[in-house]
Amino acid sequence: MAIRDNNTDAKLIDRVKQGDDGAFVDLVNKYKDLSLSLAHSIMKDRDKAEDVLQDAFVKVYEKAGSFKHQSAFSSWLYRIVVNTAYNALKKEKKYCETEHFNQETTNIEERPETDTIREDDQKKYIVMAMERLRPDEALVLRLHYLCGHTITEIQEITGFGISKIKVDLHRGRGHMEEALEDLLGDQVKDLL
Amino acid sequence: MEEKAFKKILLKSKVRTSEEFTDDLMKRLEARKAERPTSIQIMLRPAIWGFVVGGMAILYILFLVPMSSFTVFNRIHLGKTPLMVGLIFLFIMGINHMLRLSQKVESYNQLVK
Repeated sequence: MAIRDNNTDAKLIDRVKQGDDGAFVDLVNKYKDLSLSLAHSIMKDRDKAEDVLQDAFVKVYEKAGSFKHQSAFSSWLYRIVVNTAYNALKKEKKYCETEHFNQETTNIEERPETDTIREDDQKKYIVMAMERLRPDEALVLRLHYLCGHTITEIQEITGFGISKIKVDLHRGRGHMEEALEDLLGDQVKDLL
Repeated sequence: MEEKAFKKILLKSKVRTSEEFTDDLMKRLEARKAERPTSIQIMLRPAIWGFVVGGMAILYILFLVPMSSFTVFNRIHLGKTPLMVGLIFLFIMGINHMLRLSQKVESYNQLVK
């Protein structure tokens, strides 16, 4: 499945290189949600993440000619998204603030009133919990569990060391569980 | 929490883009394409600079050359001052023509796009 996906992406990116905008739209539609999730892990704000993603896709379009098929298109795209997001975050000088975000926002009263949580609300609370994690942890968790990348692939995309990725995965899981428990209490089991 | 259960939760952490995301992106790319200079414009810029630098160099050399008059086809005799004035006039006309041409190419490109 992954190999077929890579072949499809390779054909699409080759068409983009030849000036086929339709192929670029196909690639954008295929990867925009996962890419936005990664940008959101870093920016912690949906609108800012969408701005970052727009910039990242413009870069992808303009640099399509330099893509040499040495890695999967998705890895190349995610690398551009992650770099663009970190650069945007540095510009905003909010890195320090988001590092303390975890501790500062754990007591916000967002617990649902009903006994069971609807599907839409589940997603909302999960995203809220993700927003409480450090950018690196949220990014590594989403790359591993949402995008299905291995630790080696995450290293290639983020440039983080393998030990850091393992630590972020471990700590991120712990922080995520804490955030979900804080947001939902006993209703965490409804998510499963 | 077990690995499988955690993965199930994380799969729900996907954030969706707004409906107009792709349209906005394509409009932005179109705008960037319009801003990009065409090959003719790119070729005109060094041509204009080359003309300016070359013309000024020739005028400077002619200014330094010791001569009282200049003969064209053994018939027309021009003094150094009228010759310099004439060449400067032609030089300015040339630059004017090239700048207008560059402007026309730019406005044509805008119309085509």
